Amino acid sequence: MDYLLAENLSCIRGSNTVFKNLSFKVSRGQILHITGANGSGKTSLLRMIAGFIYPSEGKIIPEKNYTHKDVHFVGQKYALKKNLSVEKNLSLWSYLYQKKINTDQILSDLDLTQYKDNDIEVLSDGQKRRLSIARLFIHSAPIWLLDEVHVHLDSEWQVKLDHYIYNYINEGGIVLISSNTKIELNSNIDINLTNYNV
Amino acid sequence: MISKIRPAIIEKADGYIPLLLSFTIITFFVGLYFSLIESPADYIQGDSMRIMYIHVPSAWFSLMIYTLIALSSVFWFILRNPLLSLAGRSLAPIGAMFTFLALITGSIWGKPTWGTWWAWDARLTSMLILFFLYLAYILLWHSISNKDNASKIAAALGIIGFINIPIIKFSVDWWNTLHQPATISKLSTPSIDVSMLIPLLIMTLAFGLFLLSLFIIRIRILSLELRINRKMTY
Amino acid sequence: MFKNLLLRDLRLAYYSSSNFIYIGSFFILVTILIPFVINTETEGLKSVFQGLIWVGLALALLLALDRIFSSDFDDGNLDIILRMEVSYEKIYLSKLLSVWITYCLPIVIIVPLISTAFNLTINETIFVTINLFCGSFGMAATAIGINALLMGLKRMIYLKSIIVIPLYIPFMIFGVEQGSWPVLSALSMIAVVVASFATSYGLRLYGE
Repeated sequence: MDYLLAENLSCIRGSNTVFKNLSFKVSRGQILHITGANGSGKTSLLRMIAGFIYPSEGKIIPEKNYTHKDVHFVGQKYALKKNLSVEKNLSLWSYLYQKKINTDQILSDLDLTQYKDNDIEVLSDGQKRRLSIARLFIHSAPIWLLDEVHVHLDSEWQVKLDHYIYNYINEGGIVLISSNTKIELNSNIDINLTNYNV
Repeated sequence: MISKIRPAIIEKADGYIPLLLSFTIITFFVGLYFSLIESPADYIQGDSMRIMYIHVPSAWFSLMIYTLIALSSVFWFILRNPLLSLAGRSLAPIGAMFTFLALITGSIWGKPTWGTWWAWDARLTSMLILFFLYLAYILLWHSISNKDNASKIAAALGIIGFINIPIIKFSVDWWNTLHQPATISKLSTPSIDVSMLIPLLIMTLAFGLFLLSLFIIRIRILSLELRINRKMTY
Repeated sequence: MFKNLLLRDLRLAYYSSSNFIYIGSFFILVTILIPFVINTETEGLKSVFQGLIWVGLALALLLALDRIFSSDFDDGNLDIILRMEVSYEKIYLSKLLSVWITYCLPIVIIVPLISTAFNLTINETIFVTINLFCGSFGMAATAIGINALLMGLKRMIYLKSIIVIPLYIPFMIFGVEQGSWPVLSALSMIAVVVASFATSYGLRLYGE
């Protein structure tokens, strides 16, 4: 698809209206950056685009051609089993993503080769975050939805992540990314959800 | 989507509460009079049979209330009116109370009749399981803090529990015929004579009015709470 | 994808302490309690055993009750699963198979092996095992359905047990009677179908 269009989205969680009347358009090769205070609905918005929640009002276009597999949602949870080793976790992912994973290649790209047999518990938050982002390279999809993925990454890795995002954009991907703090990423469109809160 | 709760209906019903409660008390005393004084004692069981006048209506209502909960759950799925989920939430403790009353009165009835406080017969055992179905439903509402999610799960549980009731009745009856001697059928109502029917009907009416009063009071409180919570979060 | 989900669950069970060795040992230990608490020989041993294996099955499933979907929900793997090309029904069926294989199969295998220790004849053993086989699917399905609805509740194992045990009672009533496998199969089928609806609903709700 060439663009993602949101018209008049509003999100109601429970009996609260989190945000209202949100509209935007992101085209291929663009990055949309979502900011806002805690609780302003960044995660909810991304989950709405991902299809986990339905908008209370408004719609997301394209509706018809837009299926689950077009979206890769990487959220705040790492999707890692704490008591298992890094290698085992990657092999479990290979079942989910239905792909053979070259564990050694990925671990060397992430600089985590020495942790191959260690339990996830041993890793630092930054290392877990690195590992959890690796998913983006295992499974490809036209749209990336990234929820506060810069958190816990050190500056070197934040730069590397931004680099990966730019590469992906240049190949025609769409990225919607949320952040809690300032990030260096050059985005095309900025949305501050606090403006849409009720 | 937030559906509107129409407070008007509840407030109007609430207006009738004093009247309703008075009727309940009057009917109850009339019923008691007929149960204890005007009606004859049983040929075999003597006066202890009189507890039937409380036991039978409680048992009957305990089942009817669960049916109401299941119905309100079904309609909630279709209509999504929050009053329907509040109805289930209001009814559950009332139903649990009636079930408990049925169990206690059944037990009290059992003591002079069989000599024990408890017997594993089909009726009492099914009632005991029903009590736990109510308990599960009540605890579910209590444990989920987000009440909108709770409505959904509770509605699902209400329906699942209701499907299970005939299955449980079937199983426990079957188990009972296999394991229990035939003597334990005294808890079934004796062949109804008019003199026994009248107090039974009056007590049933009293219980019904009591249920209605409690229900209106409780659903009013819950709906007020819901409206306050919604206003506060804006 | 169905195959993948199944294999993944089985692998996870193997890596965690839910494999055959653990479930099997737990179950055998539960049955070993019987001779210690029953004073009579022969008849007492036999009838208590026939009842207790069902309680043992319920206890084994109780371990599962907290985990089935909750573990993937808590760590974010469920998000991944729900975005893959797989229907809720397939997710449910693969779970049913994996839960049955992990928690019920060890028991179905062990019971015939140890029943002579409790004075059961071969004939009785066969019936007991057939009953277990037919009823265990329904009990596993019930556990899955309830866990799917209550995925987000953390560490409320007692609440889940309170909900589930009355649902197990019909299985257990018929389970201990010889020759009631048709009824058990019917009950299991009902449970499997109702649980599939409950699971689809739960998965949809918890996508949030």
